[in-house]
Amino acid sequence: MELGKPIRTVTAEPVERRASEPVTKPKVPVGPWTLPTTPTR
Amino acid sequence: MDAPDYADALIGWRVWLVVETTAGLRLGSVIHDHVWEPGVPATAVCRERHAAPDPACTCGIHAAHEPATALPYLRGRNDPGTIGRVLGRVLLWGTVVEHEQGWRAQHARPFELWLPPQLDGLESAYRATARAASSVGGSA
Repeated sequence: MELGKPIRTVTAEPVERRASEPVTKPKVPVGPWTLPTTPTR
Repeated sequence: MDAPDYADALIGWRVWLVVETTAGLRLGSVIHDHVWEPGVPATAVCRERHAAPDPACTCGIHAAHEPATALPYLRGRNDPGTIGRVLGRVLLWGTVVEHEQGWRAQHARPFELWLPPQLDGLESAYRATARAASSVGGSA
């Protein structure tokens, strides 16, 4: 198909596709977690 | 990952062959020997073995901004097994080279087909994915 001259190269990624990508887990475990302290009155 | 230039697929116009296969009627590319299976995104491959589309090449899945650019491909000599040609709109995503009158894309999927009544069966085969822009990135 005759499309004329190339103008630029772009990326098009549907939002749903990006949302479905697996979330990368951190290599270094975070924590240890500490429970929040209950404020004393 | 860098943010994409477009957060959705682009939509262009193209013409497909309608070909008879052992699995039934299917869409086929006019220029290349490629059958578009329902629900399976088409992915561009270049015979020069570089990533497609490349700005300096002509590879990629072609689609036009305007239907008038694609219309001439509705006419042409068909091989045996080709029963006709149809005009339609196609979703384009991934790496896309923008041209003055259209695009060359890395991935594509039929979005909307204009079919004569005798090809209603073909439309039903693609209906699950044509018009389903929200599922363009899925594997179904």
